[in-house]
Amino acid sequence: MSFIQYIDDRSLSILQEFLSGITGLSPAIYDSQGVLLLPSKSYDQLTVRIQSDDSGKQKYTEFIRSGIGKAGRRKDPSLLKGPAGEYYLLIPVEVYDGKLVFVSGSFYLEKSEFKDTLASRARDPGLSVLHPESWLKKHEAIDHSTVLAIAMHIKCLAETFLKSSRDRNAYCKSYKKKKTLTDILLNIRLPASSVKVYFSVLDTVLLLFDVDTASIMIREKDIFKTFVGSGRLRDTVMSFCLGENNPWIVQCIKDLTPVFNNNDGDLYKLGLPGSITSIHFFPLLHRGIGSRLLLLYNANLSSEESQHILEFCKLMALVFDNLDLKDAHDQGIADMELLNAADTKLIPHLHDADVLCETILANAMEIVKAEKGSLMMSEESSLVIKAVEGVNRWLVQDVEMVKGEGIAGKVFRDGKPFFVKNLEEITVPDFKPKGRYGTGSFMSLPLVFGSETMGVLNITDKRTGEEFTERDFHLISEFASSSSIVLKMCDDNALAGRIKEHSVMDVLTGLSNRRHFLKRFKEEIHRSERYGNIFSFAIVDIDDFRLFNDKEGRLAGDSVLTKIAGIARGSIRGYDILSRFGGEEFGILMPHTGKSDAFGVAERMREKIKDSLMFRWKKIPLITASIGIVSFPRDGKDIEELTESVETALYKAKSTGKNKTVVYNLLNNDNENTYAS
Amino acid sequence: MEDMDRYSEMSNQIAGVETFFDVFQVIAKHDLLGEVKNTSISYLLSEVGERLETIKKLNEESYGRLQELKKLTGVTN
Repeated sequence: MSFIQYIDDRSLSILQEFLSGITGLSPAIYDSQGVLLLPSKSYDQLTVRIQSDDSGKQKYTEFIRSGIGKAGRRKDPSLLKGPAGEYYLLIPVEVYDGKLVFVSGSFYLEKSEFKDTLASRARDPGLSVLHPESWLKKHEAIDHSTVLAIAMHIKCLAETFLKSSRDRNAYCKSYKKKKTLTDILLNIRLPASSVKVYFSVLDTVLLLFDVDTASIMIREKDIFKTFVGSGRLRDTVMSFCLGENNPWIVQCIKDLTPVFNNNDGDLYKLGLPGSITSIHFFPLLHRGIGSRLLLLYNANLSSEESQHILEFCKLMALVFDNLDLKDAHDQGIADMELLNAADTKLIPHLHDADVLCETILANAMEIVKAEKGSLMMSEESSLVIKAVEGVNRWLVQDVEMVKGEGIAGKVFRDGKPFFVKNLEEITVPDFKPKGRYGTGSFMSLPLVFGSETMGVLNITDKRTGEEFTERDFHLISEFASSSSIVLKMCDDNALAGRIKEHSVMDVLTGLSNRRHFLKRFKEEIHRSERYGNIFSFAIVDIDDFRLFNDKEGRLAGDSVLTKIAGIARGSIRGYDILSRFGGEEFGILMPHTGKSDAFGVAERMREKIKDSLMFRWKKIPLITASIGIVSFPRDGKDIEELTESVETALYKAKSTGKNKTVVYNLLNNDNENTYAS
Repeated sequence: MEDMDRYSEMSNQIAGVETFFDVFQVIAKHDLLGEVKNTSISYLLSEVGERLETIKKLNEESYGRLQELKKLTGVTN
């Protein structure tokens, strides 16, 4: 901006008045093009008379213009002789990059010259005979050396005054602009919409600086694209984009300074039309982080203004950082809620691995809006498909993949995810995409817990037909991680179930063992005591089992035990409790059952044992069993008493011929049985 | 246009108009309107005009959509 733009009329008037006071001259002030900025306050009457007709005025104007032109090219003051033989003092005043010319009123160096002029122009219109005498008295002749001294004095004073005035005004304007920029920033109340912040930046530079058109570019992958524009050439610049390796952009981002280019050739190479003659790049980056640039087209900026805009951009970058952080925060919260909801859906299926696998896959696909997917789990040396979506499951249900082969096999082997945005853009060794893939975008993730890889989750084809994004990959990775934990928990649950089963089970017969039986026995006593119920307890003992074992061998004995366990299991009711009570003894608890009913159950069992295990050719029983029965609370108050009673009944059955059921009767001293087979 | 897209577009256009007047007001407050080039203000005003036209159009679309919903739901108020 030229210095003259910082000088207002008021400053020039003050200067003129000041010069008039100390030198007696009230100079008119012209710019270097001869445009009158401030007329003299005291034109001498001769000059006025000379300009009183049109031809005189024209002559005078041309004389002044030509004189100013010459004076403007000089550094020192000069004297010019006017049309009426009068002299004018022309003083060039230089301040920074601008120049003014101060033109004094007319004067004569010698009084005789003035007299001669008056005599020769006595007939000019407006001049009368009387005038010359009166003017002669007023007009003082100034000698040459005095004139030059005054001129240098004026030049020196004017330059000092104007420089100071320009600096003051420039500082005021600069301060006002800075204050305005600060206020515009403060006006943005966070959280603001990003659109509003973009418009604030553009409107500010367009209104406050000499800028033709402005735009903001945003980085998308490796290209800076115009996101929003404003000004005369808005429609033209909206399609403008540049690679991130463009040297101007690289310099702008690296040095965090404005970059300016007005080279026609460079602008042409970028594909910009001839209407754009220059570009300024300003970084909208905070500490070099960010992805936005401010571009000013056809801007006429001083270095100071560039600095203002740069500072403004730095502060705006903080606002953008804030918005980015808020967006990232909101996105993070939304992602966490999404993942949390998906994880919650897995928990109810902790005890069913098949349903859990299907739920994991369904949720994974929902999270990233995928069309197809599969979940493979490790089984010995291969990966087996446990769940599949978007593909006919009957086609793939028997598909097994060798670990280490194919994408999923390698993902399993290496324990590292494989994410392909677009298959056409990369080459995957040993992988040929199959026709069933709608898009070339897929994700394959290992399901890892600790150092153990349990399976692989494969997701293919976004429902919208677009590529999977980095966010999709992040989400699915997080979900795969939590799914791995749930799968491990499910696995551990199954293992715990098996261990528990083994801890209460007799391994040979598959019935509950004595320890478990006694626990249930105790519980049944408590329950019956609390509710006043009855129950019966029976012991089935295989007759002469030791002899059989010695004769037929231990394996045959084990086989007999297993068969009898099966018969017993088939003879009791659903709520009865059966267990292997001792070596060849089986215990049965029959809740809500009196002796009569218990006897019926025991007899059926005994008959079945007798009939099922016979020598085929002799038609005689191979194995028989004796059964003792007691009832709570009549025959005992606790396990010890009841066991003692039932053994008494059993002894009676054994001692009276075996292969029979004896019911214990406490009221009968000789243990006479109420029921006996 | 989807209802939410229309709402979002209207919000953006309103933000554009609002921002112009906010910036203009701050510049006026600092007595810098003399610094504003006529051409700049002319283009910015025409942009504001375009935005107002767009808002008007979207507002009419919203009204039409509201009438449709009233018919569909039977809600009169």
